[in-house]
Amino acid sequence: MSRYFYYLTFINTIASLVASMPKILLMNREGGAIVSILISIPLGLVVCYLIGRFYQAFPGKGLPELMDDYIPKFFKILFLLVIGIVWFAAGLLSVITYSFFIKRFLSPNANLIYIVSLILLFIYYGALMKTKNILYVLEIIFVLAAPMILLLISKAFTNNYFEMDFVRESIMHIQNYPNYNAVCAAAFIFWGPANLLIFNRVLKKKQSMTWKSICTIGLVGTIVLLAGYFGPIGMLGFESIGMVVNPGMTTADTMVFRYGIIERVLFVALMFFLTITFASILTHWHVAVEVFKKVVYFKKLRWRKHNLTPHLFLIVFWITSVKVVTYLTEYQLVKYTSYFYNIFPFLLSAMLLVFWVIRRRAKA
Amino acid sequence: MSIWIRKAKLVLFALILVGSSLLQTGCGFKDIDKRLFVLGIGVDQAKSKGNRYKVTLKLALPSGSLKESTGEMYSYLTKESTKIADAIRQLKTQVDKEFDFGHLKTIVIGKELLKSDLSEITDIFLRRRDFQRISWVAIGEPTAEKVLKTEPKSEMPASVALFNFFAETGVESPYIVNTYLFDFRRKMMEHGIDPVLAIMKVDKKRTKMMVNHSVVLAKDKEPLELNPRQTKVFNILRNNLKKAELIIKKEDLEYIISIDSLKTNYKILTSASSGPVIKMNVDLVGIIEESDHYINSKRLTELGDYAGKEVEKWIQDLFLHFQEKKVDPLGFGLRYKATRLHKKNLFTEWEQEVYPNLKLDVTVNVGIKSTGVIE
Amino acid sequence: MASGSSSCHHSSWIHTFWHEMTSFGNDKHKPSLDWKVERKRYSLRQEEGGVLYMRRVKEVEPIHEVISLITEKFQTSFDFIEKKLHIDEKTAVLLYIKTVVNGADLQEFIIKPFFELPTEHHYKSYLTSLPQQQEIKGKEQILDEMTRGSIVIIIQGSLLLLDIKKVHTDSVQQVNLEPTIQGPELALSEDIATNINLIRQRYHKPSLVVEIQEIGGKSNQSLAIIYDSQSVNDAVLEKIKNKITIIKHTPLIQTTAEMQRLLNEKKRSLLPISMLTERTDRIIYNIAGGKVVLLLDGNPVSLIAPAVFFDFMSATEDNYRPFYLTIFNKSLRYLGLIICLTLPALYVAITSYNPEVFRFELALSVSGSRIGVPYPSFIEVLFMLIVMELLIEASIRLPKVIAGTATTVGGLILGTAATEAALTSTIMIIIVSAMAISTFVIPINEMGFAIRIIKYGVLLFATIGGLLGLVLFMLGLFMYMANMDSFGEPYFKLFLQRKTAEIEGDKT
Repeated sequence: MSRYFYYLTFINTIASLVASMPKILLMNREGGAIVSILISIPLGLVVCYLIGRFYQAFPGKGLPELMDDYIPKFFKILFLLVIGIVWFAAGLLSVITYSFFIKRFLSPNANLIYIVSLILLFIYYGALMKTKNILYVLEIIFVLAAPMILLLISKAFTNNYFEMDFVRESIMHIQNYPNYNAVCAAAFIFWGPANLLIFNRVLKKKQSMTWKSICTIGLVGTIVLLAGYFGPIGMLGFESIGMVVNPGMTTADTMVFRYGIIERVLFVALMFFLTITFASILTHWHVAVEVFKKVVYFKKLRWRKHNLTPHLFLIVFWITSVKVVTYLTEYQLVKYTSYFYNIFPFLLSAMLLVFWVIRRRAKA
Repeated sequence: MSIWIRKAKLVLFALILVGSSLLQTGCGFKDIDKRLFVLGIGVDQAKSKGNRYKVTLKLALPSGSLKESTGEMYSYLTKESTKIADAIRQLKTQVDKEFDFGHLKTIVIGKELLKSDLSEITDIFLRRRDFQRISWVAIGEPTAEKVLKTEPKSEMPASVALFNFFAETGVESPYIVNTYLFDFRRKMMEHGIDPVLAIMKVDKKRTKMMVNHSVVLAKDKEPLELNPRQTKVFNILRNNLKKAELIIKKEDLEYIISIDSLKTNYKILTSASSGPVIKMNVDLVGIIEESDHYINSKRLTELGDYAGKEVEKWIQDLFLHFQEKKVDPLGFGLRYKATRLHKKNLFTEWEQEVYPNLKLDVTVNVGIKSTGVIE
Repeated sequence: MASGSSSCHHSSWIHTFWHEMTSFGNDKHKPSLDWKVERKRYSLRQEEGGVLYMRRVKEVEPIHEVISLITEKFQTSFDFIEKKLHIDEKTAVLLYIKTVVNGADLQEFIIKPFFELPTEHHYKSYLTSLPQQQEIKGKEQILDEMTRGSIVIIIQGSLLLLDIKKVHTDSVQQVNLEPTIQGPELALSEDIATNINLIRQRYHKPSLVVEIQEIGGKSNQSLAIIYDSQSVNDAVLEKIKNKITIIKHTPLIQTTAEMQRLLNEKKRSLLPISMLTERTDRIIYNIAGGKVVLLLDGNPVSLIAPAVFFDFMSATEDNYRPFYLTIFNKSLRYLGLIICLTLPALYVAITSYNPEVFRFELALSVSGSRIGVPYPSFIEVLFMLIVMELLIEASIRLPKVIAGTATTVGGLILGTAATEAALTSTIMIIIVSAMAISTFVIPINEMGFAIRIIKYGVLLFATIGGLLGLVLFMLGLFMYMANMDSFGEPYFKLFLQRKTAEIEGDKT
């Protein structure tokens, strides 16, 4: 399995560790969060496997090209429009969540619009890159940031102040029914391969989805889920964690690099998670722009041999982000992220249906 | 587009970029010498009516070269008000620079405030992002202001004595209970474990600081003060200690064991027949540090066993003390909750039925490895 | 350039074109060890301006027209010699430019045998069997070769062209730009023949191909394209050759560095996409790795293309040292790169935006050392950086006698005195010197210069955005580099698989 497939998956996984996933799980900690986690792992892996197997059969082609051949045009345009909007929303939620983090923890005096614009300036440049080059950027970012994130996760669990008792107490709540919100939020981390709908265009070699790949993805996903759920509980207490607004970052704040250059782990965590979130936003919006290009394309909009349609989309994205960021509160953000995660299974089942139809027609 | 217009556009763009970076509006750009670093904060009971808190700030004065600094290193500001944030805001009007709490590492609370609800006081420290969650919390006796204003002679210009007492990079002692702010908060909020804070005392002349007492703060109960020996035993049981000493008196031989490896673990057993019992195992390994007689190395096991029995007695005394006063700083309640499946009134069951009838069965193994350099 | 009568012009053009058409296919069959001389057809085409058409005309150029053309062209130069050799019934006429011809060779191989051999016929056979004889392809070629040092001999009614040029620039030099501790110490010379000799002597494989072209509209320099036909990347070779044909028209190409700039597709670029080196071992290493080397006559520096980012960070010593030493050196270089890029920006971001990031003692120390400094931190940083840049630029051009003074000025005055006068803080001095030293850890100079410029961008973004701006700009830099490609090779791709698998097959 090409290593770029893993990068796409893992960037999604780690980026959701710092987004609202821990908060949604912890909101349900007294009502079946653990069972939800246990259900979501096989669910996520199964979907991941199906997606990988489908794209394996058509190397070098993205979903819009495949739909061109086998799906009626009207449905294709509708479906691509929905996908574009959903992917845009995914990137948008990541941008807003992280901007809130930065405003809260790093520079509280800065204007929120300024922070968002600074991030979006670089995303603007990045989303217009060629697809293959984005994969190279993902590789570099992952190689640089993943060891540090692994270090942070292990530091949380091997800390002196990590009380196993809190974790055990939370496990004792295991006999509850699972919650749909929690299952969706936890399973989302495995659904990075959905990005293959555009990125498969550059994976030209024949891939194979084996047991080993699934096990690796499952292992990493499980570690991330455990860290996202039990880490905050162990460091911040079981009952009172409901009062903490950002459990992920607050847990990072409780750790110290005693002999390190930077003492407060919070700043290190902020910087490294910024790079991963940046990569995640980049992939989401690149997919969104490419999908929208297939739906709406103005051939006449040119300026010196460059077509300006993707620029138009990105400017629309930018304006929407700025408007939304000034409108939302943190509580609304978590609520809408939860709704977003809840929509995803429906979208994925529609996508899997489309996959099945394409495969049937391709064989015939 | 002609070349001139293109060039003019480029120049204009560059000017805008440079200009915007010079304007610095809304970015939070503030140079480091326009900030005043606050090293410690103390909260006391206010003396005047109508106010509740007296806030003291310990500020660091920057000097050109730290190695040759003479004169004042710190300065202090005090203000009384109803809320802490309000007091800080009023203090801002007295200085010409902006307060920077990013390096605030110690929070001292005055002893009189122990009677009021500490979670209210620590609320601002937890809510604002620039207070570090890894600050140390302690109680100051007689008042927090006096504790903050003490500058012992051993204090170097850039290292704050307050901080070094608690940080493990400073002094390591079994009589000092170090509590992080986040640890304090989670222990206060959770049922089943109670926070313990160290008490810092200063002598009348304000030249020395002593930390060897501690206080257990339980919700709705009187704060329970522990003497040094009880503090030491508590620290040993807390499993957070690296070094300790045991002073054992056996008949006419008094010897001190320096422990360098400690481990404690316990289990709560509730069986229907015998009442609830905690089975605790404490392992201490060390060497003899000082003795007033010659010690034959063959006597090491015997001395170790005797020391073990002494420590068992201390632990039993402490436990009974806790049980009597109905406080639980070691977290037995939490452990009880953690090992049984959750049901609705699990904790009330613990509080009313189990804890008062709990018995402690402790075994202490003290292993003395050697008698030091000489016998 | 060709300004003869129109009929003469016309016929030579057709002759040229005809020769072009017929020789085009023949090139492939010739063994690749031969020297190839390509047609200089540019100037003719430009002046014709019209449509090319082919007429099969076979013509022999009248010799006296050639001679008159030659004498007309060169008669104003003082070094043009037209010499007639005559004894008994043998006559021969020599036409040459004396300053570029090797006098000893002329005497030994041309003049002496003339007087020793019995007949003109013998002499002509002798001359035609000399290895220095060159094929005559047209009038323009004769003129061109004469300026390089060939001699035209008119004997028995036919023209012969022999190459007896003298070059003064063929001394092999010492390495002075990229020294190593234990490695070959001889660098390339300034003559192309010597350079090719040096390269061939190190790489004894018949698959080594050397192709010669002429570039430069006015200066007509020889350009050698060297590669190993078995391991070269064909796509890259195609691209390079196409680019060379495009830039041939530039009037003056003086150095390989200029070629490097011209070969880049983008008119305004920052990071280099090909490497310049004077070391023969590096050239050989790259040829064996499948790269293409360009040598320009008159330059001791060769150009290696394609080059990706990680090539610029490797020194030749990486192959000579034990494994762990190499790893240490490489990490040191990357550390130097990061320090050079981010240290001034980090200083600004931390002191002015978030002083709580670093330890308290450091914050207090920085705060104390900035007592009395009038300007905000980024102006202070900018001031010191500009001064450092001026110092570096000046030391390139200093004559050796003043070098010592400059060091004193830079070190003592700028460093200590600036702090005493409270223009900068002491910490700033340390930062700037650390950064200056780490710039030169980068082995290849072009990358070092590019990094020097990029760090101002990092500084700008750290000033307007603090730590956030710094991290975002570094990410933006990664994106910019990943978006570049060096003749088809991705510029910033990590080679985690084996190198051959990456280069041969397609990516991913």
